[in-house]
Amino acid sequence: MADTRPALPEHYFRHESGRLVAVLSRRFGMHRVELCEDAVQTALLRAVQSWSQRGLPDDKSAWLYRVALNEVLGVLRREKRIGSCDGDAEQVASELVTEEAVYLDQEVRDDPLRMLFVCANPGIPRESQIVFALKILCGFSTEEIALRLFQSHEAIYKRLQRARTALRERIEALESPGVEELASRLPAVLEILYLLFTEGYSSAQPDEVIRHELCEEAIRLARLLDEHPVGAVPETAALLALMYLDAARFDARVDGAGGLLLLEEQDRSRWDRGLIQVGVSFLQRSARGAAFTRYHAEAGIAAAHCLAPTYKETRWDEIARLYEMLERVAPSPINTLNRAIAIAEWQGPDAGLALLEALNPPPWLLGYYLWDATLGELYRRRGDLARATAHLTRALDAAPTHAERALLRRRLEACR
Amino acid sequence: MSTTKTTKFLFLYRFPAGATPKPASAEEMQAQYAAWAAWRTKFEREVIPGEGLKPGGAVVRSGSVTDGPYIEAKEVMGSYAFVETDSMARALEIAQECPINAIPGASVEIRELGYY
Repeated sequence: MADTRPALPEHYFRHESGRLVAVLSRRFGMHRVELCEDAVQTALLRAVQSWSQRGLPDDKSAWLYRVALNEVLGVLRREKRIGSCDGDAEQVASELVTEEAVYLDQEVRDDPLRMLFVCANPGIPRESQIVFALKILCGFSTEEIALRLFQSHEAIYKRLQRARTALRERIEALESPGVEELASRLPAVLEILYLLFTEGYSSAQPDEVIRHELCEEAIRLARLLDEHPVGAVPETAALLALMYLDAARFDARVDGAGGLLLLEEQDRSRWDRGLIQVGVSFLQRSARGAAFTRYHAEAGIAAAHCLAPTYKETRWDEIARLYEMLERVAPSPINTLNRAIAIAEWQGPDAGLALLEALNPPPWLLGYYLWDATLGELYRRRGDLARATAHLTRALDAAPTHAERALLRRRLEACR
Repeated sequence: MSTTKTTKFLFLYRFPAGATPKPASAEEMQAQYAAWAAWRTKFEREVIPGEGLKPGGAVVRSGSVTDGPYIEAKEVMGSYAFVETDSMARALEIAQECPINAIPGASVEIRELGYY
């Protein structure tokens, strides 16, 4: 008798839809990705009815695949009958019906990964790549992506269209290249996953659950990458280390009222030891080979924080050194700003301020709230309360989130 | 043991035809799945699910065949179920709790089997 209480794992449909779209669009070509998405949608709708009433099938994935495949074939046959286009459709169709036996081979297991590389197509602008990955690989709807990236529905739709147009115009879309041929895109893939994670970790989206979910998706896709010989390189391990070491502190960053807590205010017993351990083991793996990327530096910094028993006992010298290495592989005044904070903790506010005063900040940095927030805090520690107040007030005006504004107000209070 | 003679009902699920419904997200569909599964569990002694019905088909009327069921129809039958319970009132209760009520334009028609 079929189980009448068949619970599905969390996000089962969403993850399965990402996998199925990847499998089907390899078979039918990236130019038919929208048809594949519709077919998968139909299969899921049918599963809602059938599985809930008649119990779960033995092989859920194969069930969904069969229904979606038949749906695609049905549409292609109708197109053929109408005679509109695609002379190859019928041939593709007849080949595919006999292909089911090889459904679960290695090739198919590679499909989501291949799709990840397809998303990193250099013809697609980076922000469209991220939206496309969220749609195709993570199975989010356009509305859900808009909510998660804090953008309008129209903006997300436009980015998706841009990605689809770019893919249609590229020959690779029709050839479904092997994962090995796509390996040159690994740096772009890592960057997509990094941005996806950062979007969840530090975006302006106030809903914690939603932000968590983006981080989880980034980790899921990075692990997928790490499980494949092509992706299992030290850079991927470094990125995963960074993700786990940050994720370990996710919940402790927020107080009971939803306010953002400073690193020194956080209850370190709330850091997730299990995640820290996973992160550290990835960091060890990342140390093989000669490559040193920004992910190595950032993971090293995160590890130094995670392993410090208290804020005071943090290895600020090591963190300052890692920020310096980060500046070398990823030059940005933001990294200098962070190094100044570490140096101030290590050698006092004067040393930190000296570094910032020597910096020739670009105009955009002057309008950035963290610039003023950092200067304000360092002047406060030096006892220069007038300058501190001026900077903190400017930072307060520019701070993007409620939690950050609350934090700056607390610091301003401390100046009085 | 119940001494009441059970009555059989046919539930006909109808869905709006033509205009494709706004695509639900995968997460929404999983929520719908959970609602249907909970309904099924709650009434598992009474509801005997039927098969889903493929779209399309044909209609024969006065001997001539047309593509079916009814191109001009406002709704199409999507599936059916048998319900074995002791009264029409109880059948209505089951139908009113059915998650189909959350789908705009969808309905469930309840017919008692007549055994004519």
